[in-house]
Amino acid sequence: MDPSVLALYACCLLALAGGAGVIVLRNPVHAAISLLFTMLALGGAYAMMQAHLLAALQVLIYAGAIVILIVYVIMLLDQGREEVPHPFYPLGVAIGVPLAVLLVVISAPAFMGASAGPEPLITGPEDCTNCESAAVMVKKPDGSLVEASGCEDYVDTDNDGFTDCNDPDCHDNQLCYGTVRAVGGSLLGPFVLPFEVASVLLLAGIAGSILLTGRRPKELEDVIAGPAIAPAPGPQVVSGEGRGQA
Amino acid sequence: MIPSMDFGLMVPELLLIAAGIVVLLADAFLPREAGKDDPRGDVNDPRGINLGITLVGLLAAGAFIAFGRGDVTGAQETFEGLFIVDRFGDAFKMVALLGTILGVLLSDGWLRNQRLPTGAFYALILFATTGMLYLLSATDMVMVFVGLELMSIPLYCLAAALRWEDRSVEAGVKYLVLGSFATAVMLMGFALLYGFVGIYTGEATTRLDAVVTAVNAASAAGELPGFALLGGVLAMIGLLFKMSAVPFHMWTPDVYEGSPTSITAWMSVSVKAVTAAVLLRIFGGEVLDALHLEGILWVVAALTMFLGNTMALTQDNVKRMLAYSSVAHGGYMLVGVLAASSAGSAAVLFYAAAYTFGNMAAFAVLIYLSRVGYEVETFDDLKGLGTKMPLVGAVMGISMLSLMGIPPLAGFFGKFAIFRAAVTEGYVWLTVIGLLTSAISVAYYLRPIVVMFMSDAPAGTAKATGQAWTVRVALVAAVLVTVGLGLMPGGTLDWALESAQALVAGR
Repeated sequence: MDPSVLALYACCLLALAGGAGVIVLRNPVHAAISLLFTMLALGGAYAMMQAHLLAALQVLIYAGAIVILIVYVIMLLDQGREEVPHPFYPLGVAIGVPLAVLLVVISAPAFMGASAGPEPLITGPEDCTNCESAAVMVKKPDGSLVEASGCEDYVDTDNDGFTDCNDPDCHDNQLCYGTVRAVGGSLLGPFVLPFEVASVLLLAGIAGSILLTGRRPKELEDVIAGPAIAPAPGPQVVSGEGRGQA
Repeated sequence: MIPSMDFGLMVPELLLIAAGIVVLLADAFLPREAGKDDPRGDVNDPRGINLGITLVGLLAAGAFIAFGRGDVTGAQETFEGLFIVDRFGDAFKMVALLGTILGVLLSDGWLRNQRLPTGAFYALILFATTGMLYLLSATDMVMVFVGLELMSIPLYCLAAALRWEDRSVEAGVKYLVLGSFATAVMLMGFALLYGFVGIYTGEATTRLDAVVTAVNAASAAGELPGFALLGGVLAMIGLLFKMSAVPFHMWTPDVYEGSPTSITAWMSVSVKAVTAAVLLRIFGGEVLDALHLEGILWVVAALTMFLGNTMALTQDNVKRMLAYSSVAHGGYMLVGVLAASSAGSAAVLFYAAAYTFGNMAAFAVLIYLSRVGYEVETFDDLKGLGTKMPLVGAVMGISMLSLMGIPPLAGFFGKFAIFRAAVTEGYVWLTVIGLLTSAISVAYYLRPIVVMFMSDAPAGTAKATGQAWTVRVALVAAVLVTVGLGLMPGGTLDWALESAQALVAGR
């Protein structure tokens, strides 16, 4: 078997083991470290599937930033010292396990290529070894086989001896999906609109943090104490909680 | 490859984004301590500058949609088809914008009572509205996702606006956690559908019309794989969550009770209308049958109408009662989504409009009666309202009757249109369930009326006075439109039908 495929399976197993660890381990810090392994292993899996940029981002953002954030939260809440009780939910297992099996059964054909539906046939010419991927034959709805698109039809523009994703007319190729160039090209090409709308989303996040860090207005209590407001239907009650915080 | 960009089609969205940014910037330069002498004045924005910018932005966006589109009748696309402008989307955009304008007017009253700063609050409302508009123009799975997030994330923050109150924090956290989970489920569904389209057609695309075409073709050929069905179900679950359809409604009462009253009002109408429109755009037509979703949606609609209406019976808090009532109204809209003919789509549009104004009137009454330091939200607070303040009591009564579906109010024609479309499309039993559950709803919609007009106010209560003009305007506008839509539904029904035909023709 191809070593990269072996590495892919190893990464996937590690990711699964890490995920199981997050659920099973009782010490929150241990669970967080277990999550770190899952994130790293997923990054490795992406790398093995040619999604290099995604792999880098996965390590940078998830393994780097998010897990650290989780560890910080655990530290701030002072949760690391004691083990959380770990009740066993028979009902959860009774529902969860069959659901997981069902999910695998339903979605396996998509990944095994053994679906009742169309079958992708991987065929590659020998001279395309450095291609990011070989040509993929796909069955159309009418039953005919067509070549989805490979790199071998393209011109070796940069004269490095290969037609690959570095060649301009090849990097639009959908099979060159994982490279920085391909992802960047998508983000600022066909998907420029969602990319820009996402920036509005970030702005909304900032506005939200302004809103959520606001303090309870001091003036509220003065106003309630004063006689300026005519009584309205309902008893004159003020929620006492948190009044001292302002 | 840079796609062709026609920003002229996107003017309403850009106006709202600009208004949001201007509000945030203007807020930084407003005097901080002004308004202290006026107990009902706004602490941070005594002249209502933030409110003014927000309203101008919303009105300008609405005016552009109403008058600025030119004579083009068909659908117009830009950004390689990622953004579409058609009559259907525009009609729902108008409904969403009208709901937002009423929500902003009510927010002014609520913010005055809470003495809260206004800038970030209005900016979040504007950004969420932008998300709604993008969602209504989305023809691509990526845009549906981004639009949905842009609509939801500001709402999570707004729900927790009263950070020092446990209820509000609970609402925000619950909405955030469950909402993110639902979005993740929907993304999983989109991923499976994307994989299916890639394998089946050999072309990797996130376009919804390509997905629908491939699903229909595969279904006709009998080779639709199980994971594509799973993808369809998961994609729909995310949207049903936003619609708070049973069994994805658990968050609704807590979030609606804990959120700022004006945000609850706005959420319950505009988010629901937008989600119904997206459901119609994605799942309307034969794709629903191809994905075997028809039966599922039937059951979900029936359960939503039944549980929403029965759970509302036992509530003592008016906001919670209206929350369950909104669950039930989501169920009626789902009936219209099932009957996705042009008549059915038009019925959903009319229903959304009628529900927007009818529901807003009820919430407007709650905010009208509230004052600094005290929020009116239980049935006990409404005791004797009918004798102390007959006009306000009448508004609440009209709102309840419209939600109930009593002629000649807007709600009646909404329900009538939905059920007529459903019967035409053969959903007779679902219509029977809808009518029976409407009968159940009479019990809890009558309760505020009974409390208001047949019990005495507790000693020592007086008329509520000193409301902001914004709340008065919202109150009057909501009730006038509710009555007006009921007395003269013809023009609006025709408009809805024309808009819906644009959707059905494009299928």
